[in-house]
Amino acid sequence: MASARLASGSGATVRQLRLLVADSILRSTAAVSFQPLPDHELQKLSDDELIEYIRNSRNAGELAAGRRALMVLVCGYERDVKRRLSLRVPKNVVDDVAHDALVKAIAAAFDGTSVGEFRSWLHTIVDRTSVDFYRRAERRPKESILPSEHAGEDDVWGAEPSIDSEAGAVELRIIVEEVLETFNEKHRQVIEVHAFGGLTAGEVCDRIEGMTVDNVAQIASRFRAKLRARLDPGGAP
Amino acid sequence: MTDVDRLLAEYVAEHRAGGVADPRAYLSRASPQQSRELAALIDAYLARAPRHALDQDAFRGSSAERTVDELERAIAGQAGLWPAVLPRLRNQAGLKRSTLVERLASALGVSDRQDKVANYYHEMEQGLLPARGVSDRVLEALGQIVGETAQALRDAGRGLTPPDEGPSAAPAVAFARRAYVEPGGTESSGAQPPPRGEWDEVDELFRGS
Repeated sequence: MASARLASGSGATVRQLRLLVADSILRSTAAVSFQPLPDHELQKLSDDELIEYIRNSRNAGELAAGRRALMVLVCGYERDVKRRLSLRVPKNVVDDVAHDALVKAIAAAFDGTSVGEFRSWLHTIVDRTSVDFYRRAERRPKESILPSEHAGEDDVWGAEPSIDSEAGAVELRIIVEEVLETFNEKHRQVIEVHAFGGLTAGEVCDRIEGMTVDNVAQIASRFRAKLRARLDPGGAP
Repeated sequence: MTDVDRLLAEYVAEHRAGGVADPRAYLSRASPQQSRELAALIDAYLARAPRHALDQDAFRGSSAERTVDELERAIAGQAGLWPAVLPRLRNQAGLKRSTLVERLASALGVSDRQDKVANYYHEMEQGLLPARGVSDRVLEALGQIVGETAQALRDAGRGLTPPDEGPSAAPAVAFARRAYVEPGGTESSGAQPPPRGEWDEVDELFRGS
C-alpha cells in the first residue's frame, strides 16, 4: 500500500527514481541491440530462439516485433495441440484447453521455468492441462460455456475423445514412452524415424548405419507388439 | 500391412499435406480393439511433428489470433497472465463482464462503487493493473465467482517475469500504458492511482497490497 501511495503522489523516493532511471537505461540498451526480423527470418528460428526473441523485443519495447514471433510460435503448434487434445477431452472444450496449454507452456518458457526443448515441454503441458481439465470437472461437474462459443466453427473436432478420464489423459503418451524405453538407443532411433517420422525401411537404412530392411521391420514389429501388450495386457498375443 | 499401419500411414500423409487430419475421424475407422493402439501412435506422431509454417490467412480471426492477442497483452502488461486467464474463466463461467463486476462489487461490500470496481476489473483483464497490488480478498471473491482458487489467480498474476529480471525491471510502465481497444469499443490506457486524498476502500482492495 505504501509504495502505491508514494508512487501516486509527489513523494516518490530516491530509490524509486533510481529504479526508474536504471529501468530506462536497461531498455535503451536493449532497444539499441534488438533488431526486428522479417517473417521469413523468424520462421527459420528455433522455438527457443523465438522465445528469446520475444523476450528481447519486450525489453526493447518492440511489441509489434514480439507479436510476429508469438504468431509464428502459436500458429506453428496450435492445430497439433488441438489434435492431441481431441484424443483426450470432449470436443466442446478442446479450444479452451488448447489455449490454456499454449499460454502455460509459452509463459513458462518465457520466464525460464520450463524444462528442456520447447516442443517437448509444450506437449508435456498439453498432457497436464488435459489432466487439470478432468480435475476441474470433478470440482465443477458441469462446464458451462457461452452459447456463442463454437457456433459456426468448422475446425472443432467431431466425435468424442478416445479416452475420458484423468488417468487416460496421461497414459496415452506415457505408455508409448515406456515401451520406447525398453529398446536400446539405436533401435529407439529406428522407431522414431520409421514409426513416427514416416521414413520407409529403406530410408531408415540410408540414415542409420548398420541397419537392413529386415532389421527395421523386426524392430518395428517388436515395438508394435509391446505397445499392444501394454495397451491391452489381457488381450490376445 | 495391418489396418492400424494403413490408417496411421494415411493419417501421416494427410497431416503432412496440410489437411484437416482429425484423429477422431481415423479412430472411428479402426476396430474397438485397434482404436487405442492407433490413438497412441497418432498421439506420439503429433507430439514429434515439427512446427508448422505461419499461415497469415488462416490466422486472421482464428482462435490462434485470440491466444496471441492475450499473450501479447500479458507480456506487455503488469498483471502476469491475467489477460490470458481472466477472460477465459469468465467465459467458462458463462458471465458477461457487467454481471461479474456486479457480483464482485457485492461480494466485496462495495456495491455502491460498482463503476470503480468495473474499471479495476477491466484493467486486470487488460494487464494494466499491477497484480501484486490486488488484495487476497479480491482474488478470493473473484475465484468464487469464476470457479478458480485465489492461489491459482495469484500465481497467474505472477507469471511472465523473465528469469534475468526482477520485479523492478519487469514490464516497462510505458508498455502497460499502451492503449488496447476492447471488442465492444472500450479503450483503456491504464488508470493512474488516484491522488492521495481520494484514495478509498476500493483503491485499497485493488492497489493496496
